[in-house]
Amino acid sequence: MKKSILLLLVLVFGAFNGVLSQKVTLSGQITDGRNGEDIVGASIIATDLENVGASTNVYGFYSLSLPIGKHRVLYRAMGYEERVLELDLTKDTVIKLELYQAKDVQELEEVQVTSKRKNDNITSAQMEVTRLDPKSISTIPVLFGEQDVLKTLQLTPGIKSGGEGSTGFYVRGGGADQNLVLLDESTVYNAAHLMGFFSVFNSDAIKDISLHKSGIPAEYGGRVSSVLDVRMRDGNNKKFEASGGIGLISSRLTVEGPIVKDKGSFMVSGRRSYADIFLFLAKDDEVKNSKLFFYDLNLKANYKIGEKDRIYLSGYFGRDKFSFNKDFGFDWGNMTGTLRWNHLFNDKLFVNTSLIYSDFDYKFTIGQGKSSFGMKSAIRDFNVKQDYNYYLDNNNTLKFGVNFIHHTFKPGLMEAGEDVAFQLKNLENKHALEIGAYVQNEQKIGNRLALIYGLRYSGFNFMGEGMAYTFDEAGNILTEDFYASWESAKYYQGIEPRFSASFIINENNSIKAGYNRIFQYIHQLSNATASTPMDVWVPTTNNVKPQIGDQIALGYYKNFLKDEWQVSVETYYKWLQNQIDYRPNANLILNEHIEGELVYGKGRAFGVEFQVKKTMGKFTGWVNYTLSRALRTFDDIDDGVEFSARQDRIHDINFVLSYQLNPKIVMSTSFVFYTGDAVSFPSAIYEMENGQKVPYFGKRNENRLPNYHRLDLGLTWYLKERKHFKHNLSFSIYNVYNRENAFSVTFTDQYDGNESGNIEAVQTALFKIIPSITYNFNIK
Amino acid sequence: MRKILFILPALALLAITSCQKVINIKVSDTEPKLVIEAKYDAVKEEVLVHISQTANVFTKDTVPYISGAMVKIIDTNGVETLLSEIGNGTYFLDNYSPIHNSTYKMEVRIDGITYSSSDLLVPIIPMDSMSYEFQEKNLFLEEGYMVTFHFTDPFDENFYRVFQTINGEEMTEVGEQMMLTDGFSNGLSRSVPIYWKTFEIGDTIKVDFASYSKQTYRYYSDLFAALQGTEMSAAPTNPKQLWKNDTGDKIEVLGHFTAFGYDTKQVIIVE
Repeated sequence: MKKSILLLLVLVFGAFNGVLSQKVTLSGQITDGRNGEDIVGASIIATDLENVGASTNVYGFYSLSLPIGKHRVLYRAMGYEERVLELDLTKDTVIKLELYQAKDVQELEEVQVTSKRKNDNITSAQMEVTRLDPKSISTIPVLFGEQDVLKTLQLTPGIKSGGEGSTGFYVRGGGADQNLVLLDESTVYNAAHLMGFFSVFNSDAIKDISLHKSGIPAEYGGRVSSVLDVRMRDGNNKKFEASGGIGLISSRLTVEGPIVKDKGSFMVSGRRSYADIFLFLAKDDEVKNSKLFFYDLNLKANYKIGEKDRIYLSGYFGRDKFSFNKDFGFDWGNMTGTLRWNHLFNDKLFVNTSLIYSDFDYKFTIGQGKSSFGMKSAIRDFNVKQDYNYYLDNNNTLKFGVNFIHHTFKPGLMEAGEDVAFQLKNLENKHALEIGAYVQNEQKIGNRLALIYGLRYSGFNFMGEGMAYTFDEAGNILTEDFYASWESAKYYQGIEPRFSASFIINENNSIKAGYNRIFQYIHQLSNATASTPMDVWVPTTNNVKPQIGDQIALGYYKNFLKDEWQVSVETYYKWLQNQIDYRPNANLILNEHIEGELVYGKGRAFGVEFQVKKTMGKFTGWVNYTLSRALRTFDDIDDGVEFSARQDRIHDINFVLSYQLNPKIVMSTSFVFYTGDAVSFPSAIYEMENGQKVPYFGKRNENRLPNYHRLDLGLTWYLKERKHFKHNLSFSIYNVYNRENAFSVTFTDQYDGNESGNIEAVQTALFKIIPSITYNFNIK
Repeated sequence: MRKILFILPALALLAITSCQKVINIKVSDTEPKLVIEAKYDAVKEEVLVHISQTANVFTKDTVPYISGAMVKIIDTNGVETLLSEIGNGTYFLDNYSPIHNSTYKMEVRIDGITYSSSDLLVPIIPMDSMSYEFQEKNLFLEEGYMVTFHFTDPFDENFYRVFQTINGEEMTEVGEQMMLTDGFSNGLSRSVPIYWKTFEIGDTIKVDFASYSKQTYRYYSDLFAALQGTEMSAAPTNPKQLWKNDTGDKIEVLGHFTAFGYDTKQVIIVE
């Protein structure tokens, strides 16, 4: 049965060639020789043949068809020493290979936001995927000395920061909720700690980060703008190791080691902030009794069962906790768990099955005992997923799979002491089943053309147990209907074509194009300038339609001087349908009928991104310039006149440079400039009858905050290394020239109750110059 | 509240680094718009209408007042009563006795165009009592006396505003305004503290507990949000337009007509 389905897929895709010739399959796994970690995206190239190669998947697995006979096979991955094997292949062969990191350790720790192969940017069929190796960003200067992969991503083309110091991000004019953030395949609903200044991704626990912003592969769905796929490290399966760091804001510790040598390993990585540990010094008892911290715990274990099976179990637990003298408590956090089973049917067919759990919740309490009041809100997912890789032949790699996610939205569960004169009215839970199924082929045609094409089917069943309402134009309820458990209230579905192509002009020049359509079925509502844990997630319902995003992108890539220098230009146009906003001054929290507050519109975004990058040598880094627009149109806002989205930053320039002064010292700098955010300022004032001045707001986002710019410096000093011990000191200066960048501008009236004064525009800047120091170590 | 919830955790960090300053910034100009602020105080039996225009945001002058308007209030029986102009764009009427649970309409005629708006005068909900209690310093407030008023919420949808006069001074700042609904306490006895301040011995606290229509409650909620501007909302907007006109064209007029009554109680803090 399986074979006939495969055959059908092959026929449908017309990619069936070469299978009948005399070929054997070379397959296996590539791992890091030092710690046994799988190497993602390593290249395997038969150098004696033209254009015959493969790359490893996220589990380090590869498969390559070669004619019977002698071959010279090159194995390589960025940051590792190449290995060449002379093979005489007479039958299907499995080769598990270990690659070792280049000897000069500092060389590795240069800034690398790069593809894994030197000229992968030219040859890969995939539209540019932004990839980060957490190890490689450790020298970039950072706020409070906290390394953060999300902040480094914001320094790459097309990705814009959510605001000063924020880990939130916008991709190519999309909203902050239009990015799918995955940690070991599990959705992370709130990737921020402490109002967004720190992300939940502890760099020590992360192996690989890839961000897809165009030509998004069919295996991903659910968010219209981008996919951020974060993979945790598996842990060292050869020996025990500990590493960590001590910083101004937090400290972290990672312990890893083999469960059974070369067969299984574990990793435990923790981080805790301690802005509050000095509170015990306070004289005030109330301050002493307060808490303010966040923590992260990443756990992972994997075990190989025989040659064909491997099991992974990974989890993330992170929470922010804040309380003041028991009078007030507020905490929030994510919890994710992933159980994965890799199985190799044969040397061409690889399957991964995952069971995934994800939960985000926040709760607050005010007061204590009988007079306390509190609320809890959560979103919870159960997810089953199966993904197949079928290495049909050297020219075709087929991927297909299915995915079912059961969502439960719990908007508000009230808790109150007996003295509180509130009716405990819990907001109703909402349930939905999200379905995805896809098939995709990666095909090489001749030496120059490579295609990735696929289709994804997505469906969303808004279902019981619960109520479905209809509303009139003013947001008042017209009808209400009850649906029993699993009974469908409304079903939406869509076909999502995905396409990506590259044409290699020569080994130094290529052109790539991409198209994708994506449906988004869950949406986040936010009314605040900064990201907050209380931003509300709402599902698609009978009232709320799915968002639809279409994007076309075109890029040109050129490498110079043996791939040392890379230049690229990418341009895109994005159409967004069923965008969601809310009625003016809508109440988003504790609102049972929030759907009645929503209005719908469309959006478009377009731009061009230039990048010059130097990837090797003592001096590395990149310079980006992006010219772009992000626009929205809503019938209910300004009578349907198109307006700028907040993140409509027309000009965006940044650079990151790193210089290795000597083997002990790496210096780095980064600079950011962008057009101020589009915001609404008052365009006039008027007086109330008591003389108080009231602002009159003009059109949505017709004004601009002042332009943002900032320069940071960093220095990493590698201290004397011992046999089992390595350590370094990392210094950063954030905002070197002490620019006061506007976080917000407010218009205040010097009103004193009798006579109205003049209005003044007051700018709030969050961070002036901030120096920091972090100590990092590794014991092996 | 929402703001406090998410800002507090970051205070420790930001207190060290954040800073504020007055800047010069360009704002867009709009054509002057008519502003009609009208209220019928059913307890004082006074009708007060203030007519003006919008002005440039940074203007140092007083806003332009409109005189020569014809202003009248019309009760539920269609009886029209004219207001007289008393200067500075203000129009006034006294000894105008209320009919509770009825709709009043305000009509203003300026330059040949008649603008009108209506509001429902809802019954006054009395307070049962006021009390005070000493409280230690906490996260939000200094130590002092917390003043609470008590009332019984009738079993239908109710909207309230709490006017406070402290030692003879009316509280008008946005942060001092208190609006209540009974969404979570419908039909219950309620005790509501004046949550934003504690008081000292000798202080006199007067509460005017006003009952509003839903429309008026919504208007003031939106107005207070607008007054807080970008501090509260990423995209602040104006309260919903409520003045209609007789031309058939859409003319944007700011301000609101409010008909309201209130119950008054006072407490003096003693040892």
